[in-house]
Amino acid sequence: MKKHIWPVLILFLVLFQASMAAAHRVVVFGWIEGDTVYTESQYPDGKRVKNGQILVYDADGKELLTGTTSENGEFSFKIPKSSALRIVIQAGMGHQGEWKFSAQEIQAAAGGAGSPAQPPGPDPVPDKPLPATDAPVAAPQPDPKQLERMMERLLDKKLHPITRMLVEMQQKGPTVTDIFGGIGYIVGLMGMAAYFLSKKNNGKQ
Amino acid sequence: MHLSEGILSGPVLLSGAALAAAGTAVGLKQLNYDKIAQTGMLSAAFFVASLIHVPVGPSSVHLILNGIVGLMLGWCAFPAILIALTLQALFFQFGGITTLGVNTLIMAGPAVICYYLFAPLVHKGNGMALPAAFGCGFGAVFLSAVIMGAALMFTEEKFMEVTALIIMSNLPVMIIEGIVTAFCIVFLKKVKPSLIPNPWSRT
Repeated sequence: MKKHIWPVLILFLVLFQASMAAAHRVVVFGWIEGDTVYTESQYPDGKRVKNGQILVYDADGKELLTGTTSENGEFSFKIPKSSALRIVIQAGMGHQGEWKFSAQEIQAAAGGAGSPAQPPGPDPVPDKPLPATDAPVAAPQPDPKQLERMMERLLDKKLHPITRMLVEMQQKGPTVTDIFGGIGYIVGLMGMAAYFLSKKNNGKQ
Repeated sequence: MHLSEGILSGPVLLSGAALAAAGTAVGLKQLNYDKIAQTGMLSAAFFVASLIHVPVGPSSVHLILNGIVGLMLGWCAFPAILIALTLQALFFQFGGITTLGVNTLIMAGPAVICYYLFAPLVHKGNGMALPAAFGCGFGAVFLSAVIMGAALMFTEEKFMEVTALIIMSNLPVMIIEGIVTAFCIVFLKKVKPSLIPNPWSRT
């Protein structure tokens, strides 16, 4: 019997190559750089969510924008509103995950990128040339604000790979400890059930 | 097969929880001293099975094993699966606490249905045991997909499409489950047939 079943199994495995992931969980991770929110959506085994739907809500639950994830499960957008944001990934078939940003996080990012009143402002550095630049005599004294913005941009750029790395580290699947912990709980519950049932049986006798 | 939190509406969650609670009550009532060890073992097997990923082409699917749990436990599948799902939700964040009832119903409901449908066939002749066990493993996942489609119907409103999609994407699981169930049950029937209860022969 076994000899017949293995070829059949292999045949089916080949046949259903194109079928979709039937994972049990989907996670979305978000981080802010400058005035842009980056998100990355994954299944726990590291597969990216392709063409998943991203929905962004504000603190009142109003939908701000929607989008579709790329081949790598990425999606990014400019901060649409300076309030708390809730990012929801819908991967279909009942798979949904979410990531939240607090109002402070968004405001801090928006404040760093431009004025807090208009968060999705354009690139902050090519602002109006400040008086310091057209006075060549004062050249060695750069405008501290401009310097701060430049530093921020530079740091964002340098920290990008590290942020990504941290995001990737966060999305680990279940660990061995989790698995054995769970089995331990089941054995414990089994023991408890046996204990109570044996007491009941003793009472009857 | 695990529905995440925040998708289903309140009434669906509540009715799922109510049905799961009813099933669990029946299961606990039938749980006797001899059955505890078996229930615990199968609960643990179910708990771990979701972690076993079978690569299917570019993606991977995971085992559910609700057919075999149903066939060996009958109504006790409800408490067994409920406990395993609770632990999965707590430890692995599969599914969620609010969707626990619905998820239990999705996986344990078909287990019980398949128990009534296939257990008598498994007990009939030796020739019947293998196809019946395969049908049990296959059918349990199939019915799970149908119930899941029904649960999602209230949010996505396209029962046929959603269900067809879920069934299609779970077809490899159904086949693999069918094969796993067939091997296990045929083996157990030879070695220790008393492990497989028969719903119609008991009082």
